[in-house]
Amino acid sequence: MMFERTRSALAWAVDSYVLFVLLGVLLGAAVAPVAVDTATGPDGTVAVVPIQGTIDGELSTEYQAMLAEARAEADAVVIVANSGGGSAAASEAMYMQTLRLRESMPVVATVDGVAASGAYFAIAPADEVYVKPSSFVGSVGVIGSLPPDVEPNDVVGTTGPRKVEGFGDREFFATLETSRNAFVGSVVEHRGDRLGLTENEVATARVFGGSVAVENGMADAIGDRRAAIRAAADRAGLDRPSVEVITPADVGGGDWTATYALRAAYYAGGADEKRFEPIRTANTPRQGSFPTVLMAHPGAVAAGDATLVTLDSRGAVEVATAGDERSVGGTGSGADAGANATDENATDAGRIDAAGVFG
Amino acid sequence: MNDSPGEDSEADASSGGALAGRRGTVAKGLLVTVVLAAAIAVGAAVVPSLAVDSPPQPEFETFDPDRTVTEGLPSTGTIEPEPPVVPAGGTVVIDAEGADRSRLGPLSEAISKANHDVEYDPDRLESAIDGADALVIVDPDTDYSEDELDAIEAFADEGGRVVIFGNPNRFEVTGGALGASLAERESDLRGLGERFDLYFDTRYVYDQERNDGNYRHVVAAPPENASLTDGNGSVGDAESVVLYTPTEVRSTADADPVLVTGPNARTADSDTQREHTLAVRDGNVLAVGDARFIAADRYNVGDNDEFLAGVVEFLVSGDRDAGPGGGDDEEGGSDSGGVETAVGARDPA
Repeated sequence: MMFERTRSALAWAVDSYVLFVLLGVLLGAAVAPVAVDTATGPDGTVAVVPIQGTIDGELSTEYQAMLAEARAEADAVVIVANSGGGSAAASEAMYMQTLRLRESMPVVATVDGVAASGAYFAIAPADEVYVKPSSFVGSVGVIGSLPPDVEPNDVVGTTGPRKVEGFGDREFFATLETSRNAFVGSVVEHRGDRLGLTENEVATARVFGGSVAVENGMADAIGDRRAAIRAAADRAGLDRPSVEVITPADVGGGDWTATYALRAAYYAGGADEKRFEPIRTANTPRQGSFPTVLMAHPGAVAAGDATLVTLDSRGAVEVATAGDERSVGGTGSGADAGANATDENATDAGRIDAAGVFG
Repeated sequence: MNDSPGEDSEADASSGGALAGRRGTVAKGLLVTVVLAAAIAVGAAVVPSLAVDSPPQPEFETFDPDRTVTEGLPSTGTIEPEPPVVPAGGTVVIDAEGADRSRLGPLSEAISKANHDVEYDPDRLESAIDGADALVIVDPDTDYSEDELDAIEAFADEGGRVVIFGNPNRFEVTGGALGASLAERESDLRGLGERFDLYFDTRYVYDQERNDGNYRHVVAAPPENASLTDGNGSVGDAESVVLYTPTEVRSTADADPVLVTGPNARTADSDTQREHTLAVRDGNVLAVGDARFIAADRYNVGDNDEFLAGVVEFLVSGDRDAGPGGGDDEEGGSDSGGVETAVGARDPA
């Protein structure tokens, strides 16, 4: 009986199309979210990459890594510049990276506060440069300290007459001029017809306010980050771009934890194996491009020694004995961390600090 | 290998059974296998690299050394004053007020070549120039006293030649107890300039078009007919004289320009492009707006050696014997004419 009833109900459902309508509704409801996503979801990605702070080898390396990630994940890139420049060679490297990226996708720059000197060099190849009225751009030029005239002297011995100075005065100026030509030539070439200044006017290394820069062609338009993202999306043919902000932390520039022993603990430790472990610190002021070398003691780290200091990528310092977090804002905080460890270590922490551990 | 010949022969015998008469086929088959494997391996290496979107490599044209490298003007040659018709003997006093002695080397040597003695930084200027034929003043820190100015003016009036090398104001790093500091330094030539109706500017001249590898290393040239001696002398051969951060020299009288920049030169803090006069001659006085270019590493850059040869010719071809006032009268008018007369008067002596 049951079987026959079911069979007749099924027959009815089939005959009256109810089954098919039901199946259709279910299928449609299952597909609908995908359709909604397809219709309203992002059709591509605009990556936002910062140039923040003084340009040095480390920042240039981070920039390269950020652009590589942008290149892999995005359809267009917005560079947000807020830097007064820095090392000439590092700036040239960043220029080359920007130019290389622009070969494969639209690149639009926007200037937060200032994109001067090397930072302007780095964004020079951008398809468009957005500024605010109070932004500053320019300072297209190179500056260097004249080689000291100190050879020969009674303190240092050298194997060659230019070992101390590196250059004669005129050679130095010629080298400076060569860098200037590369910089000025690049700016003039990339700004092209948009530039209302002569090459010599650019080469005076003047700094221009944002509005003036738009007038003389050192920048293209007044606009903020959002305007730059819109422009980059338009250039990439995106209607609904998703925006992905890439930071140094995304490319290994941060997000780590290091644990190390204070120097006194290291020397006092009884471990068989003592070795130096180089690590990088994130929030310490940059001192050239050399890694900051700390002394860590693998045995002590493993044992959770009470004299250990933990430093993470947010710049927080945790001292095992005190157990509280402290910000490493500068040398003072570094000394604080040591002072909190133990009284005996206070002086030693000062010495680590002086050695540049905390910058 | 040779230990078990029996096994070898057995293996031959057994395989000989199965593959008898198929050796050619087996060999071909193996060849096909190897070729196929190689093709797959190569394909595995090549196909992904074709598929992988390698970043395009821009050519960094703006970094091309052919476009960017600056070398500056060649620096060869020595200061060779000509013609050597200089009367025997004579003295040139150099008042450099303790300026770097190495700066004066090439010029002193050239003066010696012109058969004149050089007297450095005399204790008492008035008496030193009394017995001299010419006076060179290099970048004085402090102005001269009224007595000294009287003596220098009289000296020039008598036919003694005076060459002044000045500089613009510049900032110098000085070390002190409280660390390094910047101090502005000025060539104090106000009193001296006044006596000869000359004015040394305090700002520097720069030229982004014609320079020796830096905008402040300005290339200047003597205007046509510029003369420091009888005829054009060596100055006529100086086409590219490089002055290092020079200042403009002007005359409130009718001095003649001796070195003039190109039309694109500017004075610091000014946007006006114009020719700047970097050296002028007024009778027995020659004023140059730079004291650096005479240094041992600059004196022969471009045509500096030719220009300095002209300066030495000017120094040693004065006519101080003509007596007080005489030189002045002769030099007052046209330059070349006056000098010709002066030299002519001197020669028979």
